[in-house]
Amino acid sequence: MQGIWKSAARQAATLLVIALILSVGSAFYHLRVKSWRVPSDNSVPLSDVQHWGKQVLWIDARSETEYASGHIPGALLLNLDQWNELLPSLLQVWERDKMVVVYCSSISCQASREVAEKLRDEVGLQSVFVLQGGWEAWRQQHG
Amino acid sequence: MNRFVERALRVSAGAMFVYAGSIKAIDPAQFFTTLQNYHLIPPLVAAAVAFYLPWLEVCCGAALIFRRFYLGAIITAMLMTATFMFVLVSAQLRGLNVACGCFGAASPSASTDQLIKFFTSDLSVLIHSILPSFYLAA
Repeated sequence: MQGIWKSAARQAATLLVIALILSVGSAFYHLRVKSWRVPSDNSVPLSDVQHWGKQVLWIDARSETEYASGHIPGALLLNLDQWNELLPSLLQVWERDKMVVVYCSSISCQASREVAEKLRDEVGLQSVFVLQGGWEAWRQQHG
Repeated sequence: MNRFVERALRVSAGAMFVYAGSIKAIDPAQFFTTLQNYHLIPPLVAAAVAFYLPWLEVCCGAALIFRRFYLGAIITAMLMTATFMFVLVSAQLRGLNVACGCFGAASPSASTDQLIKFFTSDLSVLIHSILPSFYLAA
C-alpha cells in the first residue's frame, strides 16, 4: 500500500513539473506577445466619469429588484435576463456623443462587463465603459 | 463492463479537464481577472495561478485520457476539484456575484454559470470518487 502512495506522489510530482514547464512557456508568450495589463473591458473609476458631466448615459446591469431598491439617478435598467425587453428604451435615449457607463453591484460582479460587451459587439455602440466598483462605489461617495 | 465504465469515466473526466484548462490557457488575462474577483489571493499569486493552473488541468486531463501517471493524475485532479469547490462555496457564502471561471469566459449569463458550477462540481466529485476504486480493483 505504501508503494502505491509513493508511486502516486512521484507521478503527481511529474505532472506538476510538466505543467510548470508549459506554464512558464505560456507566460513568456503572453507577457511578450499579448497585452496583459490593458483591461479589455474599458473600466473607468467614478472620479473620471464625474468629469464627463451630462454626456454620461448610466446603465444599471443589476436585477430589477436591486434597481428598484436604489440606483444612480437617471440610470436605465438593462440586464441580460430582460435584454430584449429593455434594450429599446436604451436605444430611444441613446445619442452618438453619449458615453455609456455600465455598472453592477460591486467590483466583484460580472454583469456590467457582460452587458458592456454585448452593447459593443451586438448593438455596435462605441463608447461603452464599465464603472469600477459599481453601485457600491457610487453609494460610498454619495452616502 | 467494469472496464468499459472505467474507460468512459476516465476519458470523460480527462476531456473535461483538458477543455477547461485549454480554454483558460488561451486567455490567462481573463482568468486572472476572474481569480481577482474572488478576493482570496493577492494579485501576484493570482497571476502565477492564472498561468499555472490551466496547464495543470490540461496535463491531468491528458494523463487521465491516456492512462499515464494515472494514480498521480487522479489525486491531483481530486485535489484541484476540492479546491475549486472550496473557492466556489466561499464565494457563495461571501455573497460574491462572480463568474465561475470554470471554463474561462465561455459562460456569459448568470443562469448558465450557475448550471456550470453545479454540473462541474457534482460530475467531478462523482467521477473522482469512483475512479480510484477502479484503479485499486485493477
